[in-house]
Amino acid sequence: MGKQALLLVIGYSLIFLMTGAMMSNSTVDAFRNAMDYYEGNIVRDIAISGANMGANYIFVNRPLMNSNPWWNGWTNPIKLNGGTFTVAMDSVKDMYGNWGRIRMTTTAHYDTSTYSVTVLFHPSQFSKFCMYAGAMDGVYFEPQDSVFGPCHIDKTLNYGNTGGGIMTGGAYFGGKVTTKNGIAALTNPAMLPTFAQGREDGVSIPLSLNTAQLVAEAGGNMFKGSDGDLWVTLKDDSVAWKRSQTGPVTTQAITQIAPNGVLAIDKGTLYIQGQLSTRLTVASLRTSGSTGGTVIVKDNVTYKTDPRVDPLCHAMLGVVGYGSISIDTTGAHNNFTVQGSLYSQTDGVQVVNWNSRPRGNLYVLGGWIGTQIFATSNGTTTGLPVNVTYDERFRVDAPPYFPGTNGYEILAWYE
Amino acid sequence: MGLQTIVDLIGSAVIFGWLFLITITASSANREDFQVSQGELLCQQNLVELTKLLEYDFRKIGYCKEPDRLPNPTLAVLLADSSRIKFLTDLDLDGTGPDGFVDSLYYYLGPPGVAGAGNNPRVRILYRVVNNQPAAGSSLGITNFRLTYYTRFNDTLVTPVAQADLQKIFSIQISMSVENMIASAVVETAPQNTQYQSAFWQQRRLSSRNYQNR
Repeated sequence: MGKQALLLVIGYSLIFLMTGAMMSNSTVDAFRNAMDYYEGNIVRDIAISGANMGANYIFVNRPLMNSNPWWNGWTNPIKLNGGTFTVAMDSVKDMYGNWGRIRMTTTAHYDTSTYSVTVLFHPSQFSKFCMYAGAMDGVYFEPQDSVFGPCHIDKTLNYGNTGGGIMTGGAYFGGKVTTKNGIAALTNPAMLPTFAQGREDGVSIPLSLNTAQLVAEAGGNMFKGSDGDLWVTLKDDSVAWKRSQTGPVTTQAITQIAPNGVLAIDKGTLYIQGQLSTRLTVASLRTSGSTGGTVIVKDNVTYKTDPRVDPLCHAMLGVVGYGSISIDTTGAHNNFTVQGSLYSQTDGVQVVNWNSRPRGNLYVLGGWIGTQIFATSNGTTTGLPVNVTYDERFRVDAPPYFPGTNGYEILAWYE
Repeated sequence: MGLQTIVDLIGSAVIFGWLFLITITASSANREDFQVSQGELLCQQNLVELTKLLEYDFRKIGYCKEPDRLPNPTLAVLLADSSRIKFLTDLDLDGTGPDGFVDSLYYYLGPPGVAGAGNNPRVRILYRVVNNQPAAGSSLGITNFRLTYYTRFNDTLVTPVAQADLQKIFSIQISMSVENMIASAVVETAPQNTQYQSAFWQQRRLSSRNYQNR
């Protein structure tokens, strides 16, 4: 009996030892599983924090902009929350081979875990806006107005309702809206606009035309206003130009007359129309003095194929004016299309004789950027009501040397 | 062999049998506890794997290595329903990193009951469809997969989210339950639904940085 009891006790002990060990392993595995997930979260948080700090450095110090020096990142590990992170910087090309983008890679370590976040930046340009106004003096968005793209008002965004009475909804903003001074109702009653992608106030992005850069990129082919105005007709990948309305026409390939993609006149007026199949910025500049720098659109300005339906369309037009950009198409037809981003440094886009010319329509595919927003029709019988459709490509791309906002923005965030 | 000896033998046999039964019972109880513990471990490991996969994919909504090919990330969500979502992203298809071309990713939950997946009738398959490839998915014991969509103003969007409202999606709440595919059947007296270990996970507000960066 003694032996049997001893065997039973030994058997008991073995069973409990074995199951105890298995239970212990199971508990350890469960703990390890939880810790694995926890560590993953911690190392990810460290990497994201590092990426945010790096992005902040880039936003504040703007490497390679305005003669700022390049930034090499933080190559020595920085301690954070029990782990470390480093930031590496790299200059990269876009898919068309153009330089200017920055890739920032943040690598975090925590215990045995590693996590990387890669952020792609590019210089922010005004063409990213569907609608930009330095101010809205006496002008407001009405309930039937809509903007389907990024919008910025560098003062107060005004809204109102001319007719008064019952309104079912305010103006509609389909893209993100930023303002410097918030919004204000200019009429009573007025319906609050809809900001589908949100609104952020306190953001100031003043217009910034880098005339010297456009002069440099136009190079020796820069036209002088003292020799007359510049009449340009776009012909796919060529331009036909003349120095007066009745002057002799010269046709040149864009690669020849604007090898850097910038065709410019200084202290004169630029007249433009035609069809484009490549990338071009036409500019009317004013390097000094008080005259010139204006642009007049004489007829349709379109791409050879519509980028909304043709994914292979790489044509991109920027129209830059120091002064006003006028739609002066009286005597032609009444429905017009302008495809490109329109930028006016000191004025805005205007329709000539908007309150007396025959009524028609102006369709813009691109953006509308200026110091002011002007009325384009009298609302009933004259002028050109405007339909501005945003060219989605402008979110990540821009016409050559289009004016920049002097800042970077994030294009892609990979983790 | 006297009477005393016979009594001793019977007594010792009874005591031995009693001790032996205790040993068997203890062993059985230990095995049951171990199975339950292992079941919970398996359940939690499956949940963590599913969670990692979902977080990995969902954080890339609207991402493309070449942003020019996906200029407006707010158009990246193509379909949004309570248990299915389809979106555009740039996947690492060959292990060398994203290739710069836009892919579509479609998650949806299959019906209850999975052939060959044990005896849990509630288990489903969470399908993950890349581009137009055949639907593929593993069960890992998922029984519930629920998506709730929020605007940037924290308003809940009604599912299925209307086409016109897809761009309003700002963040996503993911709720998921995982159960063991095979019951810890030794608890025969327990109600049917307590035989399976379960774990629940919820990501309160998951928002892809790409989806809101412009």
